Amino acid sequence: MQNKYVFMLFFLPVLVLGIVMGYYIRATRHNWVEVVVSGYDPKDFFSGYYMELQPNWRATDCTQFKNAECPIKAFRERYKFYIRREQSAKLSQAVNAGIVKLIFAYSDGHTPYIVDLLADGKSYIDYLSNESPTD
Amino acid sequence: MVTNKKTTASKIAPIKKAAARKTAALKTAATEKKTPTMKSVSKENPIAAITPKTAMPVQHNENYWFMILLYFASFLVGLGIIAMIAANWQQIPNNVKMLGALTAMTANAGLLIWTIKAGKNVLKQVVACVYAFLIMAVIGLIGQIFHLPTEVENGLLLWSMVSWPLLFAAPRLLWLWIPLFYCGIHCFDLKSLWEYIFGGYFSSLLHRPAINVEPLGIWLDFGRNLCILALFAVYEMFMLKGDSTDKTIRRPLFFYSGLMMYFMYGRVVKAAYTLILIPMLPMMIKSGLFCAYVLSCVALGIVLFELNRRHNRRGFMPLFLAGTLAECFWVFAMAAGNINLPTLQADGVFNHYPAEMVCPLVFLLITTAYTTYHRVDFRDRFACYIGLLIWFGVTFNENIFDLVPSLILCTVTAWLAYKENSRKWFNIAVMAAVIRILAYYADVSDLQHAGFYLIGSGLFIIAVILLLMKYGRLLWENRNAK
Repeated sequence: MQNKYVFMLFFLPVLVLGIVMGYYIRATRHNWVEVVVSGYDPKDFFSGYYMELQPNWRATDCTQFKNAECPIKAFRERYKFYIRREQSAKLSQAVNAGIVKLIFAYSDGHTPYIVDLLADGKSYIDYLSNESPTD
Repeated sequence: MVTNKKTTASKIAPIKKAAARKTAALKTAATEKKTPTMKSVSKENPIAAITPKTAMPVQHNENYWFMILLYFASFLVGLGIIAMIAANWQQIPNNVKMLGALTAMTANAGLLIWTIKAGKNVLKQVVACVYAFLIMAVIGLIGQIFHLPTEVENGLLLWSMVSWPLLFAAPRLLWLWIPLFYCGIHCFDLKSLWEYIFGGYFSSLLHRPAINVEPLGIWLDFGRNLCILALFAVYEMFMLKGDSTDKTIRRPLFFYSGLMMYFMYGRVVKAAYTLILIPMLPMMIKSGLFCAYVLSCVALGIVLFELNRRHNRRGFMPLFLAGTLAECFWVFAMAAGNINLPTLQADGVFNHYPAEMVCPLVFLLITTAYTTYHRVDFRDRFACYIGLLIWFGVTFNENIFDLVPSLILCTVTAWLAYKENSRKWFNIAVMAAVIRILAYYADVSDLQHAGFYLIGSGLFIIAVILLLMKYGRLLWENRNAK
């Protein structure tokens, strides 16, 4: 148990998760595309802590992609966007109003990752801070 | 006759000689074994060599009940960390969050090494347990920051892949590691090992979309089922042939033996794995899986009981299932009594997160398993359940006056136990009082506060137990001296 190699193994989670974090930071840095989404606040146990959003390809500008074609197959049918619980109601209204877009980091042949959520052209944090508080 | 006698004597002589040789060899071996120990003992401490303690095997220095509560307190701390992270602190920049997470993990690893070097056995296990939950929370944090569309199983697989070194420090974590690994490889509903290994986190690391395995068709089903069966067979073979001398390792291995077979029961499994993620239990009730789940438990319990009996195993699976059943009934009873249930059914929203259920249910399951395994007598087991009942029986109401009867009951129990010289009862009463006070604050409807109080509760309980471990004996020795 006093073996120094065993002690080093205790840092394995730090190393691996550090690599995973580094990977995602790198993967979400470039090639941002905007995808219009529709969705709902899911009625499940963690309701309110995330929103489930579906890409709306009909309303999305496909010219931002290669050959002006929307790579529907590369994207999932649903995405989870994690938010604070008190924000969910207001963001749901924005989603219903059809003014919400997801920003993905995507390049051809690679997995798209969510970078941000735009509501009415602004980052959702700015959008929510500008809005008056609801009941 | 003479010849007969001679022949008999000639036949017996070598046997006698062999027996004599054996006895002599055994004697020398015994003296060889004894001599160095006695020498070393007498050199270091001559008095110790003549005390009865030296003649006895090494005593287990861990208090059985305290260790359960310590792990439970570590669980509370871990749950608190997860709750704090789940609260989604958007005002903190993502880079700061990630850096903070890595720093916390490094500090935890450093603390773990220090506890090992300092020979603090109990603290070492607490730190390892908290570290395990911290890793889980950081994986959740990564998912939250990058809004990863992965399923829980991928996170659990990643957790089991990186957290295994902690088993060196705290083998008891096998109780957690084995089921979560099973969840991670997703053998529960017969999905592909490959699909899950190359999906989610791992495919992301490979920087390409998840490998499309659909064209493999029927061979995919065959392959994945074969993988799961092979894993199951290896585990079962190991359990039949291999025999660990360390009880701490052997217990969880035996306990989970046959679990995969249990989980291979199609749809039921979906609900079953949520047992590991206990907060999902109310969903089972809501989605109508509850009855099917309980019935399946009973049916499989019978089959597994028979299997265990044939292999001369102690009946771990039936015990596990009995615990599961008990847990289901608890949930059912509490859900029925939960005034928020109609709201839940009406619009599908859980307005009041039944977090108070999580801790007692985990505690109940662990206590049932441990007390059954150790064949604890009825009185002690009853005492343990009473302690549990005192704790959470009144916890659901948020009225502070509800604390009073619970605490009076705890005090009376502790006083009676001290008078009757029953340490177990006394410990249970003290612990029930401590947890009852702290659980009062655990309202997970606000994750930030809940996280804060859960961590505080956990740390406070750990401190109380460590103090009791150190000074509790003195209290009782003084009482006996009087």
